[in-house]
Amino acid sequence: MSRGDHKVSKITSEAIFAVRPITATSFIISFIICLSLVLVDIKYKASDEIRGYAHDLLLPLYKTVEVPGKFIKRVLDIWQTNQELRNKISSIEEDNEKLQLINSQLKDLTRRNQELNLVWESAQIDKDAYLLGQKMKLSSNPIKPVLILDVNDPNSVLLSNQPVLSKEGIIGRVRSLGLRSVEVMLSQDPQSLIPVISSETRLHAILKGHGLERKGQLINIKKTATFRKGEELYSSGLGEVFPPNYLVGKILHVEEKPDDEFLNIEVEFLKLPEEQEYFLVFTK
Amino acid sequence: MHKNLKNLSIISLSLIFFIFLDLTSFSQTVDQIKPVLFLLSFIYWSIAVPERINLFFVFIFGFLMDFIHGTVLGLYPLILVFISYLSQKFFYQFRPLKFIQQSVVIFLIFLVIRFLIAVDLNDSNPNSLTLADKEYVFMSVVFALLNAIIWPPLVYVHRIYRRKWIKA
Repeated sequence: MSRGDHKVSKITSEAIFAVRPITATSFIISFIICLSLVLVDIKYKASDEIRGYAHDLLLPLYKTVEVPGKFIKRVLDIWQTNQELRNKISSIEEDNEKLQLINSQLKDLTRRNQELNLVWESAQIDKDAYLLGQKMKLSSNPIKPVLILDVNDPNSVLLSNQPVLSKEGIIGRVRSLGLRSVEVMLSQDPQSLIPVISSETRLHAILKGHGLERKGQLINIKKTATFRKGEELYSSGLGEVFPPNYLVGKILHVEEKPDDEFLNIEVEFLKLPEEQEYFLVFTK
Repeated sequence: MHKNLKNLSIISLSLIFFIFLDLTSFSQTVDQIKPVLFLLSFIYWSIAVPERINLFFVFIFGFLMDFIHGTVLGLYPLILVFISYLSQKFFYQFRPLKFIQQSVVIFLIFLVIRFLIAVDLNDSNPNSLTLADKEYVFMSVVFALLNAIIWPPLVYVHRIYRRKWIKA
């Protein structure tokens, strides 16, 4: 054992091997430092400035983690027979036809909405307004879901609070920026608040998250409001953080509790596509 | 290479390897309950070679975990400081325990960690101090149980690794 690994008893001159590197004093100092950091971060959100850069440093780790999964997937793909692939192609063709049909319906719906003076601003937005981000990691913490995207575009104008969209609609907003990494606060996050408008009753509300795989809630809705079960909720554009008319969720349950001043309205968020690799960051 | 530096590198390597394993993603439900091998490994090293685990480890790996999990900055270093201090204070009592008894302690530690992470530090929910719901509590119990179950085999693996690579 090297010198310095042990102390010597002043009474018996025997070696004391159990030397703790973390003494009570250093424990208390570390505890105070950590607690101060936590409090500063809660109060000033200081870590949001550096989280993006930290993810930049961790990008190689995130990419390396994906390698075994991608390798297994590739091997499985190779093992697929031609027949399976043909079946897959025919089923995709069927899906494609269905999608084309739905698209034509959507076009018709859009036209009708415009006639009804519903502002469909997204139709006027050019493609440059969207930036493609590749999914790097989705945090498993259900209380604090975080998505990390790799937006490798040197000309991009990324800013905090820009909305992030999946192919279905809004899934969150940018919380922290790095050189190429983006940390996204998902709409399911308990801190997330999204101004929404209902599809049928055209009522405004604020949608609050309650964690991953948990139902959201419309907050502070008076009992006179006429929200209906099954209504879809779209971003209203109020607050100018989220662009209007993007799907956010669907009303699952409307309940009037006698001991509560407000309605209890539960909302199902858009399913976070685990398979989806790319997401869009809306930059305008 | 200096012996101490070599030992520190070997310990760090094992911790980074377990972070790597922890980052591997499955379905959302599995991700919520899968054991945190990094924390188990950290506890093992704190108990097995307490003289090697210092505050450098605590802060570097704590901040790394904060960034990976998106928690408030300083929360994981706080957890690791506690784990490290308690492990080093009570490792003489912990080491001779039977595996079943050790697993019970691990179960309690992980349950506490899980509830600590759910504390509503940002005051997102003004009516409650915690963000945990029934589902979260259930998942936390399963999570702690899985960590407790995986503790004995992990100790064996670590012991083999330590005896082979860590020099006194």
